[in-house]
Amino acid sequence: MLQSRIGETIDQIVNEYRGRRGVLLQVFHRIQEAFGYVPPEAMEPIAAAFRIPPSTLFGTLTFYSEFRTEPPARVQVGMCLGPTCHIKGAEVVKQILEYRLGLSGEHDASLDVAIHEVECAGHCHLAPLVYVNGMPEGPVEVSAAQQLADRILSQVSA
Amino acid sequence: MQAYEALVAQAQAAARPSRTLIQVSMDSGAQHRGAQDTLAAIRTAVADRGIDAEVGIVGGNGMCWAEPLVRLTLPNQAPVVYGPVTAADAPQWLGDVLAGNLRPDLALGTEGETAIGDIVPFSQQPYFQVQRRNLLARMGKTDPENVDHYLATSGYAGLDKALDGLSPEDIVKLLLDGNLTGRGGANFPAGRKWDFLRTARGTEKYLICNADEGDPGAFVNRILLESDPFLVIEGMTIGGYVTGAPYGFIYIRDEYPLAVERVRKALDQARARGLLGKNILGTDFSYDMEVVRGAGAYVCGEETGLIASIQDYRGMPRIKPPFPAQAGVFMKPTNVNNVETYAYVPGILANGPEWFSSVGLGVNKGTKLFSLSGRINRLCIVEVDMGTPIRTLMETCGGGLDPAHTFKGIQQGGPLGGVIPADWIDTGLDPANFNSQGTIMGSGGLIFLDERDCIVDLCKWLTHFDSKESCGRCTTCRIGSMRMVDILDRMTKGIAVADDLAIMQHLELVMNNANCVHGQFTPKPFNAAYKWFKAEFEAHVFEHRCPSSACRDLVQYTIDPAKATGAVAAALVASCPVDAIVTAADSAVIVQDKCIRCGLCQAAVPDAVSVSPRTTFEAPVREVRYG
Ligand SMILES: Cc1cc2nc3c(=O)[nH]c(=O)nc-3n(C[C@H](O)[C@H](O)[C@H](O)COP(=O)(O)O)c2cc1C
Ligand code: SF4
Ligand code: SF4
Repeated sequence: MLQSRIGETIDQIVNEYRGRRGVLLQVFHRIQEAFGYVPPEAMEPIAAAFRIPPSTLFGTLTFYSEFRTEPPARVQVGMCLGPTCHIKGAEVVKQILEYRLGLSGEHDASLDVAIHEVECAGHCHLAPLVYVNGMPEGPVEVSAAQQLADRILSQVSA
Repeated sequence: MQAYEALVAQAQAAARPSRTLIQVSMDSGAQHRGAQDTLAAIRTAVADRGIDAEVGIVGGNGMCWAEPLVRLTLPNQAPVVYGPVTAADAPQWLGDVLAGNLRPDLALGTEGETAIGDIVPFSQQPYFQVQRRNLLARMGKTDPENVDHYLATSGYAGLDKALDGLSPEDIVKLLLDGNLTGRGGANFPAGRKWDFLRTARGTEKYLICNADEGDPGAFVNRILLESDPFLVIEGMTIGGYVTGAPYGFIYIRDEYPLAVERVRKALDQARARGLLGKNILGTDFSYDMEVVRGAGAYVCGEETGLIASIQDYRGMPRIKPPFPAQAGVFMKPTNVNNVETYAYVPGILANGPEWFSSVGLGVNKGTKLFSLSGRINRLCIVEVDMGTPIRTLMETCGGGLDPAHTFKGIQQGGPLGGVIPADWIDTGLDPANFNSQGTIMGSGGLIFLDERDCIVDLCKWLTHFDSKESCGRCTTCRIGSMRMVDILDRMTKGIAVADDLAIMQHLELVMNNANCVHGQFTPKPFNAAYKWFKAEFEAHVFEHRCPSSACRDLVQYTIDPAKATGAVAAALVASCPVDAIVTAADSAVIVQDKCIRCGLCQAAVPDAVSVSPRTTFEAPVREVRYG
């Protein structure tokens, strides 16, 4: 049931773009918006609709850091690692978050939380800037990192 | 042209405020600071109190440090801009200003020429006085989601002029006379590039606007697209007319979702008004375009990588020639320009080439946008004449640095750019001044540094960025950049050897053989940094010391056991975020292997914790890393 619904959505998106060139990134974006990632089921219909060999398709999909090929964690922590964040201690903040969230191998790593890096978009007044499920938080000073981790943990367990 | 005049008349009728106008500046920077909440609070207050006022949005005005900004236009009074106005402040503020108290405490200035009470005109404030807002003329004054606002403020006057009797050759000449050069870094004359495409064979041709702005710390393209998207669209439409390209792509990086949304909206509105699509302004000229949303790859900013990305492939740059003008998107002739380059075209047509060429203090002409970040007091976007001294930007616009710290230098030109030292402060911001010193000015990002920032560490960070973003095609670039990161990493860890400095220079020669500028320029940050901050590298390599105390692997925290017993020990244990402090024999000690040297223990109990240079290091190793 679920499987067929995934297939339907994918077909719908693919059909919208069928026959056009230069739309693959949009198609991937749309699919990721629908599922949170680009599921393997999407490959065959896309390859067929746009006559792109699956190898090329995978090449494109995995080249871009924004596309996920696996479902995202329930709580996603995005760390801006831009230059202003960097000089203001983002790396230390990241290490503290990783440790407190159990992502450094010393705590229980079964929590549904993941840290990824985010590119600088010029919101440097919030540096060091952390996104929690897309919501900006900042400045997260080194001294505030542990508190943020606690809040994230309560969000994970809620 | 008649069709144009009718549109303008319609826009002016629609846009003229007959009543109180309250506009929240809504760019993504403002959104990050809660502008949506401010807008909602104002809307609620206006509705609840039955106030006769129109509430809307405008773009940002460059004063990022004061977001969220609110622009108030009372009937018969010049607009006043306030900031920061938080959602909590908004109801009180609204009540005050409508009751006649103009709240000078919250006001940043007025757009009018005369002071309103204590509210000083922007034109008399240093931040604006040193700027010339040619591209940013509408910034913070018009609604970027409303084509009428654009039309009512001389929008599309350039396109009108083009279609009303200028030939493509005339326009190329105007651009060449004005000497408009590319703003994306390479500084190539835009008129010549347009002429290549104009004279290219065939009718299937493309225009591309490069809005991939991947340089960390550069966000001038974002501000333009978010605050005045029509300007870029008009520039490209004129480009379509000049070059004969019937179609264009604007490639926007994925990190700029609001820009994607605004440009898409703007395209729809332009189409609806007959300013885009078939038979533009009733002529037989047709041109259309679409937004391509990137997906997080820095090399897609390189034009051939960008073209590959539009064509559904991995965004890998390729060897030039053939240049895009010969074989671009779908192997057809293509012109790639930066956002700022296209944005300048409408003004040059509307105001003449002198409007552009008469501006500039050095070799290059016109104005340039810069984004100021790093240790600067006020994060902001400015537009100044080419050649304006760095000092003006730093002190007048950016409000200087924290007086407790010392200005050390600037990281400029992105991760393929460099680092310049503090004594460049009186140098003019003109690409020629940078090129003559073997570095580049880049596309507008200026990251200010002070004595707390380690150049070696920064260099490692930049090179790591380049390494991570290498597309992987060339061994020289892919492996060369990794080797550079390895070496810089050893320097920041105190385990580099003298040879490493020489190897870095060899690597530069090797990487010169990479396919594209990404690989060729990856050594540039090191190059510049080593040239101007040699002593700092030597301190790291020969003395295992970081003069800025920023390299955490070169310091060590120790607890004085005599001062760390009882409650103090407990406080220390509690202060460490990574559980690196334990109690042994009644007193707190640091488990050095676990310590990340964050300094929080010292902040908690300054008396008991000392920080000193690290004295023991692993033996220098030359590990070879694959993969
Ligand atoms: C690795 C790399 C990244 C680049 N990124 C950008 C970019 O983000 N924006 C841009 O306009 N140009 C970028 N460029 C330069 C483009 O290749 C191209 O020169 C430019 O878009 C031409 O536009 P202009 O003539 O208007 O400056 C980049 C070049 C390289 C090598
Ligand atoms: S130099 Fe680097 S980024 Fe450029 S094509 Fe080669 S591997 Fe790719
Ligand atoms: S410096 Fe930081 S990590 Fe190290 S012991 Fe102190 S608090 Fe813990």
